[in-house]
Amino acid sequence: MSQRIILPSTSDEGVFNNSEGYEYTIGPKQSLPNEASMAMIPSRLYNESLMFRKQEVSLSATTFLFQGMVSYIHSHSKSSTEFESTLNEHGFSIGSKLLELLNLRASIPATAHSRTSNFLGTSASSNNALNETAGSATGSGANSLGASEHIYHNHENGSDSIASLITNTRSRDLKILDMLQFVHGTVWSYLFGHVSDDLVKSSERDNEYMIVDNRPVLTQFIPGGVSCDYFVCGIIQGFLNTAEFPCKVSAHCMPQNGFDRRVVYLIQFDKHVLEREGLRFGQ
Amino acid sequence: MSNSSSMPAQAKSLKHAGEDIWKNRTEKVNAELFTLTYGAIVSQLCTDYERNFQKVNEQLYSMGYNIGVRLIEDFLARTALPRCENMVSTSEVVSKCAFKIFLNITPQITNWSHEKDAFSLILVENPLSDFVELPMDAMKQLWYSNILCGVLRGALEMVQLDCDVWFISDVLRGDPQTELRIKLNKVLKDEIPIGED
Amino acid sequence: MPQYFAIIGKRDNPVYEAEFTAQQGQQGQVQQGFPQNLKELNPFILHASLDIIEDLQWKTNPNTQSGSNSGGGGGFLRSRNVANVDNCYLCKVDHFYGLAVTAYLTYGGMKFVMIHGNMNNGDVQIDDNSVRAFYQEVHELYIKTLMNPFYKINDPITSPAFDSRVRALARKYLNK
Repeated sequence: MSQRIILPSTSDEGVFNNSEGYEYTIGPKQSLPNEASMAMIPSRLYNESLMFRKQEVSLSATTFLFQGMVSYIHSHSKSSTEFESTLNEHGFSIGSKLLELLNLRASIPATAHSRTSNFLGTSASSNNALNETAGSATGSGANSLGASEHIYHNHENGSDSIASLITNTRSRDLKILDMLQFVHGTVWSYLFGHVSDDLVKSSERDNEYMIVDNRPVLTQFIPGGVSCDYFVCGIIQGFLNTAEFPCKVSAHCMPQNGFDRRVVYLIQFDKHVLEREGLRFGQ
Repeated sequence: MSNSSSMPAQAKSLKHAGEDIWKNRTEKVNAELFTLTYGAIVSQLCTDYERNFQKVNEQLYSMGYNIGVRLIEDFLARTALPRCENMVSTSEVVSKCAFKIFLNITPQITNWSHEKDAFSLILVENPLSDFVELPMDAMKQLWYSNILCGVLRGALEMVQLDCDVWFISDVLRGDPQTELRIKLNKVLKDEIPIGED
Repeated sequence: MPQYFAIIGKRDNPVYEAEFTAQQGQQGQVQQGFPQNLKELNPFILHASLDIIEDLQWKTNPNTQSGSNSGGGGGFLRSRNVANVDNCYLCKVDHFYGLAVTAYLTYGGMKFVMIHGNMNNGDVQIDDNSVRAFYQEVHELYIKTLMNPFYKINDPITSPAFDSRVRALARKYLNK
């Protein structure tokens, strides 16, 4: 964040007359009626659709990238604690994005899919389409390319904005168990293509829960302990903390039934999360 | 682009091979996880190097280089392709096999140099840069996807091709297209690769 | 009727603010914004409602207790035919003299708050369907902002592209 707390003492005109975005040192700008026909400022980011395009890359590209990140962080860390906490931070930022993104996507009613079957059909089946046209003269690359251009092109009309398909948003989860179910199910499927292998409540401590992954996708080719799994710890933690369920998450290697890389993510909620839940929803 | 039509048969079979491997012999993951992970890396580098974007470019490049020198083994093992005879066939392999198998995209090959030792790849899609908007101070300096240059440089070096790889333009900077340039410096002598003796 | 809209971050910090002016349509008529004295009060009115929002944040059905949460005066102002079952859009949460305050919570606890000014000193009528649609669209724009790796949660959103889209949504849903 920039450090401008005080208004620039130079003349005001440059500050007030520019048509730039929100400037928090100045406060709200008033929109004027003569701006009614003002064209939208072009932007790649805001023209992209948040609809899930179900695009894929290879597992090896992802794990190579992950290993690149790991070795960079490793060479810049003085201790394994620092390594784990930096990796955790990387995951954290992703987790807080996923909280908003996946919940909003989950708000799209099932019936909306049929209304937009054309759009969803092309993107959802793009992989199938790819397969079917493989080898034919019209390339699959051209296929998916066409689809994405279609997306960008249409978005400003709102035809594939998520909000336009929603009447009621998915409920914000207010209870620990609902939050964890979403992580175990929706988040895990999104990240790794399957729900997590187990979600367990600790029998010893009230504030502890465990998410189990028998075969961690990202770290499967990395020898050694669970340090690298702190990236996923960070994703879980970022998701839960941003939803105002503050917690700590740690990774533990607990081989079982032939899954020798089996990882247990231990989630320890702050006491006040339990207190709030007791107060709001009774025990 | 006229070059790809000069050897349509080879280009076609490489294209077929790339698509077949992607379809049948590639384990796949959600591209958004890849995009988000890369985003976290770049934004952390910008913080670590205090927004010295030149440094960030270099770091991304060297991270990519280290990936490239290892990735090539994976690539050769999966494609079992013979050695390329010239840069034209190299360009086809890079675009239709390498990019296809790893990222499921097929960049266009274009802008051949007169000597046929340099070409450009146009990335119409780029899974690294979805949902990215560069901050104003990075617009003229940061090559957001610079890791790709390092990967190509490292991988090509391992097959005895000493190349310079760099970005010429990027839609993230407001350019009309994303163009990556590959220029062959020299073909290295066949010798035991560094680190394997 | 004019509106003052703000996105409030997790430390009660302003992330984005905008003021929308009604379009009266007729040529030459003075456009109605907030009177200057009220304009300066807006951020305070808005912040006063944050406690109410934080309380509603953890209620299962924040909209079933209509009226009780807004000092007894809110219930009858709300259109009753809207079945609001979600808990992101909180409907009208507070009022201040003739002004109404509506709110919306994102999944990450960002607070979208809006003060609805009144037209001819009458009470403000909130069209929940339009206001909700406005909030949901802004929510989507906010998520796009958040997806950008260079944006950190709670940072002010200074993008002119974001600003122009929010204002377009205000024209579409609030000041038709």
